[in-house]
Amino acid sequence: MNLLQISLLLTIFRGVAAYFKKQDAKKNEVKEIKPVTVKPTVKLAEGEIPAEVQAAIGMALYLSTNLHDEESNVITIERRVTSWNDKNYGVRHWKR
Amino acid sequence: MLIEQKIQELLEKRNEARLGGGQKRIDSQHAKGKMTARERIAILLDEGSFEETDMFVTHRTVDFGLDKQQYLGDGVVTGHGTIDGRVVYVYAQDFTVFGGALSETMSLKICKVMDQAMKVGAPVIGICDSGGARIQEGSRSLAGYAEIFQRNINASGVIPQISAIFGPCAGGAVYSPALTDFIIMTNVGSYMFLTGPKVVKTVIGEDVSTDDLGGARIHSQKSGVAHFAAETEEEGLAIIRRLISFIPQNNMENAPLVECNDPIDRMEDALNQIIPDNPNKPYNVGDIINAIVDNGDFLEIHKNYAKNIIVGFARFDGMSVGIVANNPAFFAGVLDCDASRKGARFVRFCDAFNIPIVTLVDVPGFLPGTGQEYNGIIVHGAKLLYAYGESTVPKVTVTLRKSYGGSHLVMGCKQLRNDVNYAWPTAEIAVMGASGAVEVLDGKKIAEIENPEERAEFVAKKVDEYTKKFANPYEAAKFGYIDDVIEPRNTRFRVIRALRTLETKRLANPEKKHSNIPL
Repeated sequence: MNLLQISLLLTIFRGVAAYFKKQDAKKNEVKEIKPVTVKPTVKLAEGEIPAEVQAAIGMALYLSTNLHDEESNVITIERRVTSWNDKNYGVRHWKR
Repeated sequence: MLIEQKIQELLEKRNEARLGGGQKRIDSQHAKGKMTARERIAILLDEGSFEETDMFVTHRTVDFGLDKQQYLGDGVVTGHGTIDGRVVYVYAQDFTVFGGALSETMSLKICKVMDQAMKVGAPVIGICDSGGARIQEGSRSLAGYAEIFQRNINASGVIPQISAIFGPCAGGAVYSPALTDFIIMTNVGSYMFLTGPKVVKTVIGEDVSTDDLGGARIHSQKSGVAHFAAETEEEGLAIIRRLISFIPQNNMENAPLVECNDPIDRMEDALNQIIPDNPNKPYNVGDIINAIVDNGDFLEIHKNYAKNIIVGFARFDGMSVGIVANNPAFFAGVLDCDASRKGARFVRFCDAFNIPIVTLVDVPGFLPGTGQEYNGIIVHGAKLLYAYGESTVPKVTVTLRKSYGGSHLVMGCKQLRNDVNYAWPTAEIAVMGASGAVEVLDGKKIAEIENPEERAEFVAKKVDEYTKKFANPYEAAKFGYIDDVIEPRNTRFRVIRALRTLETKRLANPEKKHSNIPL
C-alpha cells in the first residue's frame, strides 16, 4: 500500500469520525428552555398566595431547619444460636 | 363382615358424628346467625389440617331418659390442626347437642386435648358455645369443669391459651375462659356472666338485659374480661389466627421471626413534630406506634377498655414485641385502676412467653380521687410495677414526653431492670409537673404575696425555673437513668438495634415456689 492510499484512507476515517462527532454533539446540545407562564386555573383572591408558592416556601423552611442527629442506620449484630440464654435458665424449677 | 362393609360402617358413623345434634338443630344454629362447631374449626385452621379425636365418644348418663339420646362425639368437637403451619389444639363446644351443656365425657375430651397440647408444647384454642353444666349429670358435670380449670391453671404460662365465646357462657363455665390468656367475643349472640338476668332480678331486684349484663360490649369496654370484640364469628376466628402469628408455641420458644420488608432505617420525619408545644395538649400515641413498627402492623389488645393505655403486638425487624404505651388522647394518658390492670396483665403475658416489651411513656401520674383510692389503685398500680420488675424479657423504654413521679417508676424505669431507656428531647422526667411542684416548693411564699399580679408573676417565674431544671431528659440522663436522648425520627432504628442487642439477654429471678403478686 503506497503513501497515497494510506493518506486517502486516513482522510476517509477522519471524515467519518468528524461526521459522527457532529451528530453526537447535536444530540447532546442543551436547548434553551423558554420560560412558560402557567395561568392559574383557580382565581386567587387579592393577597392570596398560590399553593405552589406556599409549597415552595414550606420546603425552603423545612430544608433550612433540617437539623438532625445522624445515625449510622446499620446493624452489624449477627444473629447466632447460643445456649447462653437457654429458656431453662429463666424458668423456676420445682423441687420434688 | 367384609372389609368394605366395615369401611361403610365407619363412614356412616363419621357422617352421623358430623351431624352433631342433627340437621334440624344445625339449621336452627344457622338461623341464629351462628356457625356449627365444625364450621368454626374449618375456618380457624389451615385447610384440610384438622384431625378430629374422640369422634365416637358418647355420654354415660342413664337418668332422665338420657340413655335414649346419644350423639356421637357428645357436645364438643376436639382435635388438632395447624395455623400457618404451626400445630394448635382445638376444642369447640357443639350447641346442637344438648345446647353444648358440659357432660363428664365432654370434659374428658377437652382435658385430653389440653394434656396433648401440654405434652407437645402447642397452643390450645377453645370455642365456647354452651348453656352450662349438664344438669342431668349432677356433680359429675361440675367435676368436669374443675378438671378443665386445673388444666387451664397448669398450662398458664406454659402454652398460650385462647378462648372464643361465640354463644352463651354462663355460671362456673366462665372460669375456664377467664383462666386463659385471651378472650374473643362476638358483638351479637355471645355473653358471659356468673349469674344470669333472672337470678339478678330475684336476688337484687335489678332489671338488666343479657347484653347489658355480659355482652361483648360490656366485657370489652367496661369489665375488661374480653380482649377482643368481633362483629362476626369469621372476624373473631381471623383475630385468633393473627394473634397466633405473634406468639410462640410455648414458654421455651421464641415467637416466629417474620421476614421484614420494611427498612430498619426508615425515618419518620413526622415524629419530630408529633409532640405539641403545649405540654397539656393531647396527641394519639397510636400514631407513633404505627409509624415505628414494621409496616404499621399493630394488633391492639383491649382496644376499647382503659383507652388511656394501649397494649398490643407488633414487629420490629420481623421480631414480635409487646407494646405498652400511655395514650395522652384519653384522660391525658393517666394511670388508673383499669389501665394498671390492663398493662400488668399484658406485661406478664409477654414475659411468660419470651416476647420483648417496648414501652412508650407519656404519663402525667396516677389518677387521683376517692373513686380510685377506694377501688384500690394502690394494689392495681402495684400490679403494673410488679409485672415490670418481675419480667426478665428484653425491655426497651422510650420516654416521649411526661414521666412523672410514681407513674414514671411504674412504666419501665431503669431501676426496675429495664435494659435500654431512651428519651426524646421533649421528655420531662420529674417528680411532678412544674406548676404542681411550684405549689409544693413555694406554696408558703405564694400565699404571702397579696397582689394577684405579683403572685402570678412570681409563680410564672418559678414554673419557668423548675421547667428549665427538670422538664427535660438531661437531668435523668445525667444520672444514667436514661441511656440516650434520641431524635424522634430515629426511634425505629434505635429500638430495633436495642432489641437485636438484647436477643441473647439472660436474667433469672430468685428461686421460689411462686411470687405473691398483689392481686
